[in-house]
Formats: sequence, structure tokens, C-alpha cells
Amino acid sequence: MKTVLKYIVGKGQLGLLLGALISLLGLASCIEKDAKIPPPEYSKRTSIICYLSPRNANVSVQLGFTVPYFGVQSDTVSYYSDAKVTVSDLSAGTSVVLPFNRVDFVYRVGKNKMPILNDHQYRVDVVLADGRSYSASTQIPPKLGPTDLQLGKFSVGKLEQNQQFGQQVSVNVELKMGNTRKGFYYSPQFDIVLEDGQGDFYGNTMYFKGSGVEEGIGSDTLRFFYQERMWLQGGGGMGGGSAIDPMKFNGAEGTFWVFDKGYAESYNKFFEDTGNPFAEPILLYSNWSNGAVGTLGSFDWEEMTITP
Amino acid sequence: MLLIISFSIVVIDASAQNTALAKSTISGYLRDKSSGEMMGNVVVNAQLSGVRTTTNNYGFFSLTLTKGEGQWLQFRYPGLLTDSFYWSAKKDTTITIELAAVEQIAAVEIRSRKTTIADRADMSRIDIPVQQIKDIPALLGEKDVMKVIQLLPGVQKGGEGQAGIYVRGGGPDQNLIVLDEAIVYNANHLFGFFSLFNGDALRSVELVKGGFPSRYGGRLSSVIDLNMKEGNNKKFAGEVGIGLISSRAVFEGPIVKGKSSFMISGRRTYLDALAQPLIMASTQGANAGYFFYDFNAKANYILSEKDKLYVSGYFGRDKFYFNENTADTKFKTNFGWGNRTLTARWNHQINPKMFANASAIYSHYDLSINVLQKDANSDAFELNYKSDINDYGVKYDLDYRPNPKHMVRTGFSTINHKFSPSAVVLKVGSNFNFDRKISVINTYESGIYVEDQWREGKWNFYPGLRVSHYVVDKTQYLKPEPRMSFAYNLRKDIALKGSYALMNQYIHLLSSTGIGLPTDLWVPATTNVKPMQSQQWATGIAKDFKKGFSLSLEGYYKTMNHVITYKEGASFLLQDDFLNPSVSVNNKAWESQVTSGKGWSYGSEVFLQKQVGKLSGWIGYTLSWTQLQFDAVNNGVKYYAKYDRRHDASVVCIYRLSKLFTASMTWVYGTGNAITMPQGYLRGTGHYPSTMPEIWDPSNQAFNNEMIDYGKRNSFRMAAYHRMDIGLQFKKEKAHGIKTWELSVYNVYNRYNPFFYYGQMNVAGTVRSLKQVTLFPFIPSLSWTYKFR
Repeated sequence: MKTVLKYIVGKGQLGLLLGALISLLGLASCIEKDAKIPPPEYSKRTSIICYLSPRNANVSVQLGFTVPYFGVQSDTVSYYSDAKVTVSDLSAGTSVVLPFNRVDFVYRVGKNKMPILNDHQYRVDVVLADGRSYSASTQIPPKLGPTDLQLGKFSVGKLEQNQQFGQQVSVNVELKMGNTRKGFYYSPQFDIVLEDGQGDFYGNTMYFKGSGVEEGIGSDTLRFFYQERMWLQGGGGMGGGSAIDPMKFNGAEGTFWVFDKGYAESYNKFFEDTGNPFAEPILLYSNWSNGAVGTLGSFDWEEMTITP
Repeated sequence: MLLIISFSIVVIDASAQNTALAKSTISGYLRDKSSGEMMGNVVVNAQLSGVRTTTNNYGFFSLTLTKGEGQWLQFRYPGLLTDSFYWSAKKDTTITIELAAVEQIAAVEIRSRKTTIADRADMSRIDIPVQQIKDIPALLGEKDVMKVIQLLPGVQKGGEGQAGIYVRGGGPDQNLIVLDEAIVYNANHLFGFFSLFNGDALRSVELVKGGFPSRYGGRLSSVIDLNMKEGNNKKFAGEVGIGLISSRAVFEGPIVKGKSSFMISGRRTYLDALAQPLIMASTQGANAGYFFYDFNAKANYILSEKDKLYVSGYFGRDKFYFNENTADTKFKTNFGWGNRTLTARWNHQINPKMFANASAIYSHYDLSINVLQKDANSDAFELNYKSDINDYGVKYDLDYRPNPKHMVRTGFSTINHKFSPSAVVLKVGSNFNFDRKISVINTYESGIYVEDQWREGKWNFYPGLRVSHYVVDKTQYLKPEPRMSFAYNLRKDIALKGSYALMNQYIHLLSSTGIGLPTDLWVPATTNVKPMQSQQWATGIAKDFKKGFSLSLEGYYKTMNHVITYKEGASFLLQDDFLNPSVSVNNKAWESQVTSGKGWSYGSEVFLQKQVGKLSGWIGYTLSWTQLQFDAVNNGVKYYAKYDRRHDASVVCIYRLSKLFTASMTWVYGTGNAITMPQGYLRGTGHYPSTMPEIWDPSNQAFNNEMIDYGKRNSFRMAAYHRMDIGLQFKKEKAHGIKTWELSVYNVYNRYNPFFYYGQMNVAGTVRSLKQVTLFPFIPSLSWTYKFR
């Protein structure tokens, strides 16, 4: 109930209205008791988390198990310290066994022992002391070049005045990548700069729609669209009103990511989890064999600057 | 006590047809003598030749026999003997017959129109006597036709107190609910605790769960066909009832005696009045409350013996309001939803063998939210939100009875659905004005059909074909829907039956919670979200016994394609955050929030019914399985539907101790719903692409992400649901009517049936245990009704 109310209040007055109605009915007659049936049966599942990237300083694997939701709760870390964890570069034909680090409970080697290279295929194998084994594989996405992302169509509208929020202007920007190779491309946001008629600069942030992840399939051009009214911040901060037309798009910069399917799937799950207690439950993602949960994913990024 | 039925016959005219064929046809209408209401599904049996027919929904019948072969015609109510009328068959005859029955203590509602079940070619169809609805005990004394339907085999309720129904594995959106031919989209008051059908206004209720006649289309799992009373065209009558949370009244009478009549009924709760003192005390004088009302009206006019006009309408609304005025602040809000329907019909008898009905239909459902806040120190805030659906339709149906072996029906219908998913107007002061209206989505849904009830010796066949057509934007779907039912009479009282039906559904109901919230959204099939389709095979055996018993055993198998469900993480509740002007509203199109897949449902149903005698009622039992599979849900693995109930049983008993005293009892049992509950946590270090480039290094952030492990979808079973309700009715005859007191108890043995579960941590934060919430414990209620005549 607390989670529900917290979420409802966070959604503003509409949420309060609906929440008050539901609560009124719910509190009017409901009886809360201990359930007469046992809680859902806890199933101990091996969890394996590993993200590979040429950017990482180490190659690490976090190996543990799920803990019960009902019953006695514990904050202690759940881990396996006696497993054999092997990372193999299938493209180069090399492999390394990762030792267990008792300080932070992960299996790790430095990247000098197992370099992570773009476009190479890797496999991680885990064998527990009791003989259970799990594996997964990933292909490191291609390296991005600083000019891979280009400006497509863009436009900036006329200034509009709003007493409460200050000046605003409509901005449409399209970023595109031509001839993409396979992978998942993503940009959370870009910092955008507009220049007004008297040469002053106004900065803001543009967010791309939805989760912002686009899948490239090898031959198409990916497009990322931003279309919104932008509130200008300048001079005295929010509510500043000193910009004059014409407004121009001066450029944008930000971090552009690329990752593999495993990473994309687990990220989408995270993105969908908004904390809404009425939302459909999100099952744990896994690309491991034999019922383990967790993710083997790979990623890379590049910092991009877009100029008109 | 002997049953006496008397009738009067009015011979209106005689037409000379069939001379070339040496046949004569008797046709006309059957009416109730006391009220003039047309009587449908009454069996007309020619005793000598053994041929028979039934009246249609408008009381029309037609029987063609060998010319000159006079014989007795018998008009049959289930289980009761009737007197007969001798017809000479020398020439075509058109008549209107008025039938009256003196009520017998042991008699069931005389308007019950069901034939013996072994007689009928169709299967999976149940007529629900409206009088029985009034005899069955109900929550807070509120008689509810949908709650009675939930007591039938093959029909499951959604949850405690819910009016939504799940028929043979189908969801609540897969039921076509029509009131006088108008579609009702949200048949729920008070979040599904009550339906919007006032039993006082109803003449007939029919449930079809399989073997769908081809005149029905548009939904996969069931048809609930409700018809309003026409009104007594001979004298004024009415009924008034006062209950714990609502009162109701119905009045009917002639406009022009014998030619025209009206019926109006209304119901309103007074929850708001009852709760007002408590609310004011706890909110420092705020005025808040909730109420709902229903209003039904119908009028009809007999233009001639061959023509009749009807107009009927329903208007109902739920409303929640909250108003607070202080020295500095004025806050006013209301949240309402409701339905409106309007139907105009013209019956026309074309010739002695052919009857036609033309209808114009309007239906509307809307949800609206209005908020106004004015502060002395800040700008006024105003929000108006509306979502609605409007239907405009026409329908034409033809009944053709060429000979006693065939009863052919054909016709067409077309509906223009106008969906307005949301319209928002947001104003803050005089400077911020946000007005967004999503364009109306226009769709056209049409159907043309033909069906025949064909008797051939011991065989009854009911073949049919419907062709449905649907247009949205530039996409259209054209789908044939074959239908077939058959029955073979092993003996007069035993029949083997089978059926097949293919159904398509072009609109979907998006409902996150499944508890009938008004925010449940109806959306059309689109290019991306295809129409749903089902195929259902059923077989069974029906037997009539003596003393009014009948037994039906049925097995069914149903497959469903393109069923939709929400993707993981999706929700349509509180989705819009339009109070934040920097965030795009409705930034997720609903199509991207759903995914489509398949479903399977199969099971068997037993239905033992007794319709006459002091003791009447039924026992129903269903054993069933319902599974779903979506690529994007549960990792693509098949899983049980939430409403997959392995066992579902109900026992209904109505005992008429005397003419003035009736006792009733219901007992229901159902396997618990299948739900998704957390069973564990995964703790680890995640990595998410952020604005600042960041490597993945779990060394200093070990296991700082916590994600819930739900295991598999719907893998947890709620506790079984069962309860018993009892009711006692005391009647007293008065000079001008009958007064009835009813005492009923919901959940007699106070079973704590779970409404939902949740986990709760103890105070020390060391142990989490499973808790349940129960809605309705032992609840007595008292109501008073006066039926005046």
C-alpha cells in the first residue's frame, strides 16, 4: 500500500485523485491478515553478471545466487568463491581463467591478460563446484568513429514568451548514422546549444524518444529524432527572457553508445521498470544457459560533437 | 394444484398464399395477456403432424402445414401442459394470441422461454429467467444479472465482488454485451462491484458461450443478449425497492391502451449521503462522495398488425467528487464515467412467412476528469481530460420460415466506431495553455450473415456463415466466419450435440489490472495490432428428466490467435504525466505497449438444472485449463492465464415454502487465480548507458542493484475461493400490490477470500511475510420492495 501511495502522489494531482478514490474504497471495507497459504516457493537461481568492453580496465564476472523475497532477510552478499570462470576470445583462440577476489567478491583479471577487442566474439563459461555449468557468448560491437553520427534535418522556430517558464522555442533535430553494422545504438541525451540573433548562446538538453535504443541491421540508416519545445535558460536562469530572434542551432554534443543484444535486452528491462505498482511484472532477463539469471553483455561508446 | 391457462384469440385477417403448394400457413404473435408484452422462444407445436416452431424475440411465429389437415396447436412452457388451439388449416391465417397463466406455487417464472434442452439444435446457450435473478441473494442486496451469470458453468468471475466475467478461457473484453441491440462497453459500476443492468427493467437475458449463431459477431468468447421490458400496454404497474446502498423504481403502462406502452426505470445509490458525515469529519469540512445512477426507458407503438415501432435507451453514470473551500484555496474535482445507448427499431411482417426488423443504434462510453484549483497566492490550475468511444450503427434482420423444417435468418449490420483515446486541456494561470487532442480514430465494422435451423427427422442442424469486414485507416480485413451446430435426438429426451464456431474481434480492451477500472481503454485493431480470432469446437449430451430436471454435459476446445497482452513493465494506469510541461504527453503509443500471441482453453462443463417445483435452481461444475503464449512475455514460454481456474462449481437453490415465503442459497467454489508474485531478489552490479561515459567495474559497487525475481509468469496460485450466501424473502399481499422484505447474508460462514496478496516486512526489517487483503466478510443486508398493480 505504501508503495502504491508513494507512486500515486508522485504522479501529481491526477494520481492523487485516482488514488484517493481507490483508497477510499479499499480502506472502506478491506481486511488485512496473514495469508493462509505459504508464500511463493523460493528457487535459488545462479546469477552471473558480466559486461565486456574495450573501455573497461578489467575483465570481471560477478557470480552469485538469488536470495529469498519472503522469509528471513539478509544483507550479506551471496557469492560463489569456488567456481571455475573462464573467458575465451573465440576470434583470437585464447582464453583465461579468472581468479576470485575476496575483497569485492568478483572473478577478475586485468585487461592485459584478456584484451577486449571490437568485433571479436567472446564466451564466458562458469562451472560451479557441484558440477553445474553455465555459458553465454557475446560479440563486442564495432568501434564508433567520431563522425559516424551526422546531423540530418534540423529546424528552430520563432521565440515564444511564457510568463511562468520564460522563453521557449520549438526545435527539431535529426541525427543519423548511415550504413550501420549490426548492433544496438543508443543515445540518452545530447547537450544542445542554440544561438540567438545577437550572438548569445543558450544551452539545454535534448532527450530522444522512448528508451532511445535503435537496432541496426546492417544496411539501413538509423535516425534519432528530437522534437520538442525547449525552455531557454540564460542570463538570470530559469525564466530568462533576453533572447531575440532568429534562433539558430549551433551544435550538440554527447556520448553515443553501442552495445550487443544481451546488453540491449537487459537495459530495456531496466528502462521499463518505472516503479509503477500497477505495471506488468518484469521477469529477470537472462542470456545464460541452464537457467542462470543475469546478463553477459558488451558495449562501447564514443563522444560525439555535431555541428551544422 | 392444477395449472389453468386461458387465452383469447384474435383473428385479424386471412391472406391467401400457398395455394399453389397446397399448404396453409398460420402466423402471428404471442403476447402475455396481462401485460401485452411479446413472448419470445415459446414453442408452438402441431400435435398431429409433430412439426413445431418457436416465436422469435418479437413474439412472431409462422407454421406451414398441409392444407386442410386441421389439428391442435399447443403453446408450450417448459414442463407445463398448455391448453391448445384448433386450427383448421383451410386457409392462411394471421392471428395474435394472448396467453395467461395463473401462478402456481410450484411454477417457475412464466416468462421463462426455454424449451427442453434436448429439443434445441443449438448448444452452450442458457436463457436466464429474470425472476430467478431477483430470488438469488446478492452482495448488499443488490440483485445483479452479471453476478448470476457468473454462477453458470463455463463462466468465471474475475475476483471478489467483481462483475467482470471470463467465459471459456476468454478475457472480460471478449464478451459482447448488448442491451436492446446496443453494445455496452463498460458494464461496471463502482469498479466492477456492480453491473449497470437493473433487473427490474429487463425482460430477457441470454448467454451464449459457444456454437454462436452467425447473427452474432465481434467478440470471441460470449454473447450476453439483454432485452428491456416493453411496458404493460394494458394497465399501469410498477415496483419500488429500497436497499442498503441504493434505491430503484420501475413504472410501466399504456400510452394508448392496447397499442402503445412505456417503461421507465431508475436506480441511484446514496453512498455519498451515507459517507458524507464521515468525510467531513475527517477532512475538515470537505465535500466528497461517490454515487452512480442508471436510467432505462422504452416506448413502443403498434402501427398496424404488421408493423411495430420501439425506442429504448439507457443512461448511466458513476461519479466521484471532491470539493474543498478554505479562506485561501478553492479545490474542485470530479471524476466520472458512463454509458449511453439509444435504439430505434421497426418490426415489419412482410408476409406470413417472413418477418423483418430494422434497427438504428447509438452507443457511447466516456471517461472524464476535471480538476480546478485556485489559490490566493498562485495561478489557477485547471485540467480537463476526456476519453470516449461512440458507435453509430444500423442493422437489418430477416426471419424466413418457408416450411416447418427450416427457420432461416439473414441480415446485415454496420457500425461506425469513433474512438477518442484522450483529449487534454491544461491551463495554468492565463499564460500556460496546453490543448492536445488525439485525432478521432474512425473504424467501420460490418457483417452479413445467413443461418438456418433445419430439422430433419431426429437431426437438428444449425449451419451458418457470417462474413465480417473491418476498415481502419487504409487497412481492411475481410473474414469469413463459418458456424455450425447440430443435435441428434437419441430419444425424445436425450440429444447428442456438437458445434463449431470461428469468431473475429476487431477491438481490444486495454486493462492493466483486470478489475474493471474506468480507465480501461477500448482501442481498435490496426495495421500493427491485428484482430483477434478464435475457433471453438464443442460437443455434449443433453437430457431432460421428469419433474423439470435437465442435465447437460459439454466439452470444449478453443484456440485463440492474435490475443494481446501488455508487455512487461507496461501499464495504462497513471501513464500520462501531463502536469510536467517538459515531458511529452502520451509519449508511448499504446501499440508499442502490447504484444500479441496465442491462447488455448479446453474443459468440460456439467449443468444440472431444475426449473419447476417448490425447489428450483442448479448445480454447475467446470473443469478447465487456459494457457497463453507470447514471444515477448515469460521468455516466450507458455503459461497459465490469470483466470485459469482448474475447478469452478456453483450451487443455487431457491425454495418456495409458500406463496409468500421464499428461501434461497448459493454456494460457489473456484480454484485460486494464477498470479505473478516475487520469490527472490537478484543482487548485482548493473551497467546502464548514461550521459557520462562509464566503465563497468563492480569492485566498489558490489551487488548494489536489486532486482525482483518473479520466477515464471502466473506461477503462484491464490487460495481457493468459496463462500455461501443465503436469502429470505417475506411477501405480504396488500390492497394494491405486494410488499416484500428480503434479508440476505453475503458470505455466511465469513470466509476470508483473498482479494490480493502483498509482502510486508516486520518492524525490525528482518522478516517479510505474505499478507492478504479480503474485501467482503460476513455482510448482512435488508431491502424492501413494493410491487404495485
